[in-house]
Amino acid sequence: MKAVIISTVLLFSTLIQADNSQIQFEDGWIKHLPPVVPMRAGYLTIENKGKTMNRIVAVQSPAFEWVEMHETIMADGIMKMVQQDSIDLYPEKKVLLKPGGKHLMMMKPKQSMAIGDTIEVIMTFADGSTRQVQLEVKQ
Amino acid sequence: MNKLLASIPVVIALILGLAVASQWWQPNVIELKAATWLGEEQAKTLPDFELTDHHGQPLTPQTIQGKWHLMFFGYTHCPDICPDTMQLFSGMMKGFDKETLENLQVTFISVDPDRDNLENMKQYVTYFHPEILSATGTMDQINVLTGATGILHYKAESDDSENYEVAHSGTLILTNPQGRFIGLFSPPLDPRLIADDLEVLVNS
Repeated sequence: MKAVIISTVLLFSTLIQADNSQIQFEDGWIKHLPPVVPMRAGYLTIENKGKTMNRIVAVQSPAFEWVEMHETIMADGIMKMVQQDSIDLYPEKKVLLKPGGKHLMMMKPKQSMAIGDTIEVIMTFADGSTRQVQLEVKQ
Repeated sequence: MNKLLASIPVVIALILGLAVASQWWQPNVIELKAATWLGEEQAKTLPDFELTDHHGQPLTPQTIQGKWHLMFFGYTHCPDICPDTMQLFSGMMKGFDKETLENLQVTFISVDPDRDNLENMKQYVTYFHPEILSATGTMDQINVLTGATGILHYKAESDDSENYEVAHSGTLILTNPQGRFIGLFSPPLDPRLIADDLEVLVNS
């Protein structure tokens, strides 16, 4: 019985591991802003190369007090930001986090950020697993 | 009866004359690529508003006379789209010649006076370009200007008095050197086309 449980746990952890490893992060960057702005927007491309659905449910960074997932929505010329509970990663699809669309809303920088700096971000998936991503501070 | 008949050619001549004159008076038909142009006749005199710019000087319908003004309404706690518009301004202004820059004032107006003040706005806008001006005022005074120009903005509901979103129109407002609201640019904003239009208008 013990062996069955252990092998089941192992099997699942392998599956979860496999899922997470099918997620690819690219072109991560943070828009450089003057220090008076107490938040930053982060952007990147996330590709799910796997055949199963995945989801990012939380984002954090040691360089910020907290990070939210947002989407800027433009309707009738009005721009507003709407907080998202997750970023859905459909199988074999890319999600683009870009200016004027989905983005990471990174609140209260804990450090100064110069152009060229890299900032670590930790993505948490629906299964609780995490991945580290580096975002570069750019103009 | 004869008199009435005799007056017909006069009336026709008058109508023709007016038609010719109206053509004559629009010799410089300006070709605009991006602006929604209200035209001289439809241009709107702005109601009295009083904001304060980041030098501590008043910004009113009187002080905006003498130059073209391009106004953008936003807030500094807006990290995604507002900086894009500010970058559009800085890119555009870097391409303008001295004369255009002297005759056009680009102004950022904060619709979030609870969090924005002259000091943080100044640091924010001058980061993008030293010639961009910022201004704000009480919500009532802001509303006089935004109401007259059709700019919508509202604070999103939030339990947090420090962290909240402000929904706002991305439209740019243009006033002429008489201080009248004469045109606007609606999103999506194309920097190349807007720059072309402004150059034509400011130097016309």
